[in-house]
Amino acid sequence: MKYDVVVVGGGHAGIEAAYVASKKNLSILLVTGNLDMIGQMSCNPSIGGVSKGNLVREVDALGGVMGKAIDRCGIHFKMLNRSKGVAVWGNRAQADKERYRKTVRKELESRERITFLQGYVKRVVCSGESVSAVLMDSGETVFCRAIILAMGTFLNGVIHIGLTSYSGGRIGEPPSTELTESINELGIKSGRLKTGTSPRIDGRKIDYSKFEKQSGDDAPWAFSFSTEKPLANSTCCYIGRTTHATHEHILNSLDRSPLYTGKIKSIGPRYCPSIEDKIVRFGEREGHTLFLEPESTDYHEVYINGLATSLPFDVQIKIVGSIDGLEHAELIRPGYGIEYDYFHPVQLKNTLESKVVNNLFFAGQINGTSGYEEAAGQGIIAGINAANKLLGEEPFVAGREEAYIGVLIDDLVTKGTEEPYRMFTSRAEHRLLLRQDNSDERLMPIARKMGYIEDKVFESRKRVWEQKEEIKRSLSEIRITVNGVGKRAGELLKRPEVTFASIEEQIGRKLSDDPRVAISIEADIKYSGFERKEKKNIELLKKVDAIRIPENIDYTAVNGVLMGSRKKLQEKRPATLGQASRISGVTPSDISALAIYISSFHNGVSRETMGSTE
Amino acid sequence: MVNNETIVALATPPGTGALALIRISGEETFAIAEKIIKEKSFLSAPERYIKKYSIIDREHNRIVDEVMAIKYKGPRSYTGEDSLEIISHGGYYTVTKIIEQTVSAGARIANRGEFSRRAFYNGKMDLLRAESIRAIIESRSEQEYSTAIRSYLEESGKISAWESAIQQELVFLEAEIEFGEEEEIPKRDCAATEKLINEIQEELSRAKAIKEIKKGFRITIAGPPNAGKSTLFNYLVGYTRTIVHEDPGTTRDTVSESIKIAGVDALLCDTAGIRKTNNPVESEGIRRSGEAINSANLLIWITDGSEPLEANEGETVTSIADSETLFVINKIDKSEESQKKRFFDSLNKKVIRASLRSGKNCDLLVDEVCSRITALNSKWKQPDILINERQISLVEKMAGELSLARSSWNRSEIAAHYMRDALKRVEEISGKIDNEEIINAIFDNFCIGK
Repeated sequence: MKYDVVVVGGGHAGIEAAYVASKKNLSILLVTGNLDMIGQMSCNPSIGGVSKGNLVREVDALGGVMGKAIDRCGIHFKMLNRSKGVAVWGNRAQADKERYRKTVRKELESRERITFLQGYVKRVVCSGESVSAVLMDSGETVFCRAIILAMGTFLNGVIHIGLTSYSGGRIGEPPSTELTESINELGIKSGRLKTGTSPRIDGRKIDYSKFEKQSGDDAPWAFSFSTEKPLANSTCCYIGRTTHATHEHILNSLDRSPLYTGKIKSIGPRYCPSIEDKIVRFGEREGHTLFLEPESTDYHEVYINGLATSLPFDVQIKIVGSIDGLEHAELIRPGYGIEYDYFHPVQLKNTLESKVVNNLFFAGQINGTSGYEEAAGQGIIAGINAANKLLGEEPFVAGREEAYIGVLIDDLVTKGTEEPYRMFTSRAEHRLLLRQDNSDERLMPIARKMGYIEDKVFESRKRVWEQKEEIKRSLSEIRITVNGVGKRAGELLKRPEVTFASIEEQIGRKLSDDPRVAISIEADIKYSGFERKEKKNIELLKKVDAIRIPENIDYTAVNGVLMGSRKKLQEKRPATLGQASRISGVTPSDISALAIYISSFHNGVSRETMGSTE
Repeated sequence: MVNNETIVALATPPGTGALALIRISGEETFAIAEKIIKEKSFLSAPERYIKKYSIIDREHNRIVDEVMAIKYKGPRSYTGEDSLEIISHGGYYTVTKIIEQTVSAGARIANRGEFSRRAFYNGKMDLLRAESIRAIIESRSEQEYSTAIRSYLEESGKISAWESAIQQELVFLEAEIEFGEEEEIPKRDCAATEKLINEIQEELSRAKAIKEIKKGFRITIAGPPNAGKSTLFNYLVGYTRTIVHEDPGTTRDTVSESIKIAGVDALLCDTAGIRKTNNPVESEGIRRSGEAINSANLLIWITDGSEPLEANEGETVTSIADSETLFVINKIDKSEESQKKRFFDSLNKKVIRASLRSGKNCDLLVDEVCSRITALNSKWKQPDILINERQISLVEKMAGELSLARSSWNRSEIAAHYMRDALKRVEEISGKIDNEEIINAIFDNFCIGK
């Protein structure tokens, strides 16, 4: 067997990688432990959220699957932060878990050049400095020119329920063994992380009257820029709380918690804490919010969001029973904690290719992230770069000012992570520019140029952009009299209290039939002042980011760099001066010393290119 | 630019003294010391212990001086590098010889401020602390000194208090943005930001006041020509500097002298007499007098009691007659002109009647000047920080950004944007801040996540 690209893992990273790479007519093999589980939502049945929704929009604008899939099988859509500025809105949707898997599988099958194979990869085989094959558990060798690794939580996974633990990659599935060691042998270091998920209950026995109903939006907003079919809000979520009894049960059983007895040593995500963590750290609170999220519209399984736990099964039953409205609800799948291997992402380039082994790419949770959307964002970047590299095309790196995906990957490869990394809008210093509604304008032209966006999709978006421009032009011409003074509508719209709708009302006619276009234009104008201000910083950043640090640099030879910084630089080996400056603890004076060193290093080699270090 | 060359300099003032302190710092310090110190025991000597050594001129094979010296191994030194402090006999030649030996052994003469700059670059102190050390050294008044030493001892106490106040507000704003829809984030109004802005403004106004003190407390003497301004000036200075002439318009420029009065360093200014004139030189002098009057902390208006009041003087006096003005009617040994007397009485201000020539009531006059200065000086509160222009200008920008954040409080993403700008100013003032800190703080303060 021989393929251009082997993608290992059929989760949210692997899916995007295989899908996007197949658009360049390369032969792709998607290897996964269980073909039925492609696109499985291992944790909660929802996609998106504040900043995470933007990631999905960006994946879509780069030619990915996730947005299209969730639009098709979403059952409850909500735009979060609607009461705040457009820059921090975030699309979120509940998915029919069952249908999500099917939709993704179908979408992948629509790509002729994707082949599927069930099995576990045991070894990565190299020839010279580049990958050449993977060795399967069946004994088969699959030859290839590039490998994208996306094994999620499967590497040497250990599942914990109370003090009971056993090997597993996800509940009900065996882990992937030997592969970590094979990658370690290539000189790539790994670490261990922990995450967890909540118990699922039988929805037939829930007393919903005890919960607050949360409906989806009246006019739901699609994730994908190519979705034309209306979205279906076919179900509701319910909001409840933990009780005093819940807290008692938890506190009384900490001696059987793998987290508190020290059985789990790995670091878990702070923003996705287990319920036992919440009670121990913030026990004084009156109760913690829980969300009941349906897993499907075809059957009654319900996910209890907010109740992630690795406490023993009997305690989980008591916890569920202690919640108002769940007294009779049966626990049908326990929550659990899972420990797994990840590879320190500082060993990667911004393209997600290994710095050590050529054509070996890493994406998703194995890079220390958490979340379906973060995985998808990395998957698509790994897929694009693997394809571009095999075809001899330019690498693609999204800038921090260009996309949340850019922030995500830059953070990972420059700072690394010691706990599961999750995206937040506050991680993006140019947050006001990275809106969910302008993801297409930011990324689609680039993806189109590289050949990842279909004609039909691109043409239809282009029409929207042109329409926006046209309306902005009229806004700059229309004059409105305020207190006897004539003002341009575009200028008025910059004021916080003036809305697009109020302008339309003033002039007595509609400027746009599409409320989303109106929202987007208003946001463009409202944030334009900040955009100008940020552009200056961005230019500066780009300059520093353009200065490459020689790959074989010996930091002990660089004068004037602090001892502590030297160690960090040596470990993280930033590719550019900009990356070096973003490593925590590295000071501006370290950077100036480094700049001086680099310029002297390059002197005589190429003087002009180093002009920017002056 | 940072480099590791080894530097040497005299730390004590040049000239003759009992002792002198010479500092050496840099990678080669101990290698250089080994060359100029006769005793082999130097290398094995423990750090931070004082020991006696002989400095040797190897070329001429003679002892230059017997000294005490202290070894400091980096990073446990002022600069953070390997360093040596040599206490030698004071005296131009001793010091010169020792420094010469050091230089010929491979050190170079340090640039101005280079030891502190290295300490800053090596992370031994932040910029604020480095600046406060400089301010301590350069203090020329009690006020400057106490501000500087407080800044130094508290490190960046006030600035870091502001920094954490801003961070705290940002934590609320960011938590509301990231989790407001799904978690219970308490609503936060802008009261704390408002309070912070006021506190910063207060500090800024104190800092500006001390800048005034630094410039010198200005006492300006003004009045019509030939009223006795220069006589008063000289009286206060205590010695004659300007020619006192009977011809009106003799003093055509402001003349000033630093004096110490009532324990305060002050700048005493004499001015050209104010009157209508066609003489361009004189009118320039009068223009400058106007400036001196405007910038005065204490204005003394002196007039000749025996001369009638000119319309011009009446106007000027009415315009300057506030509480900071002290009126002196001079030449009371002559008979006082009645219209002028009525005019000054009608001002309802304290007026001192004296004769500078005879010395009558001059003691009263000086007492009054002193008590005015003491009263004014006590009104100036000490600033806690903000000792130089750079810091003041950054803090002013920070206050501006906080005001923008406050006025856009309901649009949390915009308010957060300005808050971050304000936080960057703190970074500019003292050090560096990482985004990660905000996120960490969010998790330390809220129970978040599902």
